[in-house]
Amino acid sequence: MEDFTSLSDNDLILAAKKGSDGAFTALVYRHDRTVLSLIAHYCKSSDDAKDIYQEVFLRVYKGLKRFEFRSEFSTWLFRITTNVCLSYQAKYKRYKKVSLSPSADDEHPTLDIAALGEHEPDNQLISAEKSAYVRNAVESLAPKQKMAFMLKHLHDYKIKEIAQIMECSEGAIKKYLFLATEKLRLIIKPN
Amino acid sequence: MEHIDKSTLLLLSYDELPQSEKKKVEQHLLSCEQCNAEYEELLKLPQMVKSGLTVDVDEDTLFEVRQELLAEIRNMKRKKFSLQKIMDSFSLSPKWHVAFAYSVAAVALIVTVTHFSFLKNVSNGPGSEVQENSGEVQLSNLRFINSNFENGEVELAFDRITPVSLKGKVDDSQIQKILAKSLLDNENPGIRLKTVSAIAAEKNDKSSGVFKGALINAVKYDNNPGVRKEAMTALCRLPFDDQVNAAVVYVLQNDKNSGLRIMAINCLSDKNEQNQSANPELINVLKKKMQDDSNSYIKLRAKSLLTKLES
Repeated sequence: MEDFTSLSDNDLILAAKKGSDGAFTALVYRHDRTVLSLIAHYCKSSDDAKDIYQEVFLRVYKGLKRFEFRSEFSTWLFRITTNVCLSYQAKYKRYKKVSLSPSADDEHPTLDIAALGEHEPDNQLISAEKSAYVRNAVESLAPKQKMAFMLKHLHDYKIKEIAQIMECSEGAIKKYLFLATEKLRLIIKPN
Repeated sequence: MEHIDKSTLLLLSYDELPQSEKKKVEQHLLSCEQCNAEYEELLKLPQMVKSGLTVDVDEDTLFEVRQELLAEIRNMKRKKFSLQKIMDSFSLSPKWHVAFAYSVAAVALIVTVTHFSFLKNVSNGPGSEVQENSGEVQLSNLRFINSNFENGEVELAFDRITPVSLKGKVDDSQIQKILAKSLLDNENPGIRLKTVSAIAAEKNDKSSGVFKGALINAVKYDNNPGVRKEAMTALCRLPFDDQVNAAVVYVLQNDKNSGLRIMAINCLSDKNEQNQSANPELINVLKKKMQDDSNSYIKLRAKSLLTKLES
């Protein structure tokens, strides 16, 4: 069996296009961890995450023959992931998470993150609390704002690349990022 | 003094402002306390959200979804084109009935011609005996390449499936290819299991190259633990090169079945006692297994192998 780990994405794609299952598997294994972590932000259950994962990579498998190297493979893969996640979110919008605040349905309570942990003995617990709070705050964003925000902050993509992935103009991505930042700043108080 | 708008400050925090504008904004920040405070606040946000955005992928889930994906792809490959769909499409309009009659006649003609011209020409391998079961040809995946129904002409492509029985030794190249393909593609786990057993029974070292890839694939990705187990047994009998070593380490690291992980660590233990140069990846995996594995026997074995390798 050929050692695929040393091959570039493009070489793996060429081999997979010629029918090499090993090359396709190596390509999946190289990227699926990142894809799954992105999917996790859009799913309420691991079963849904598995379904989306399969949908994404089956689309990749079926579409690989038409892939013409006009963009990076990862950009194309994230575009597919984005589309599937956003479709999923649109479909299951009615299951949207309830507000963190028991007293307000639409408004999120403000959390002074900097203050957390200063006087508490269990820093690990505080850290978990912070993470959960931030995750909930990010999940409260509109789907496209959330996707743009995560691609920027979690995967460090440039605005131009996010525009390619989400098939939007760069202006639209700047707007999503700005709105997402403003909303998060309202929810998560930095100081 | 005119302040810098927030969206520009955000782009500056991303380092995505054009160079000329960046200089201008940075210059302004030196003299404007209000904009500078706003900018500082923007810089804090990514650090705060990063921990909340990062999701640790569960290895068991990853293993499971990978197996399901590979199984689904295998199924897709086997999926056959339904002739019924063609018939349904022909029933849309009355004029298509005539066209369909022409098509059926053309297919029958092609089948007859191909049967007599090609089926008899299958060459036998030197050590194998091929026998076709005539009269059982099946067609699948029928495609219309060109169709000019008004002239009564069609050009078709299809897959012809002919039952063939093949008798020979496992070291015969033709049989090896079929076994390797069967191990990767066959839907029936019983057949895959028999295939591995046939491969495992082969003692000729020359065959190992052909089978190695198929066995590695099976031990890592087959969704049936029985097949993975047999593949592991067969793999451990092969010359223990880097690829085999990597596959066995992969099983120890990722397989959910503790029996397979035990087989993997036993295999690694046997082989590494013969070959004293352990690779760093194996050392790392053993260290992790020693602490994290859910099976206490594996923890113990990992610890003792690690001690041996590091001594």
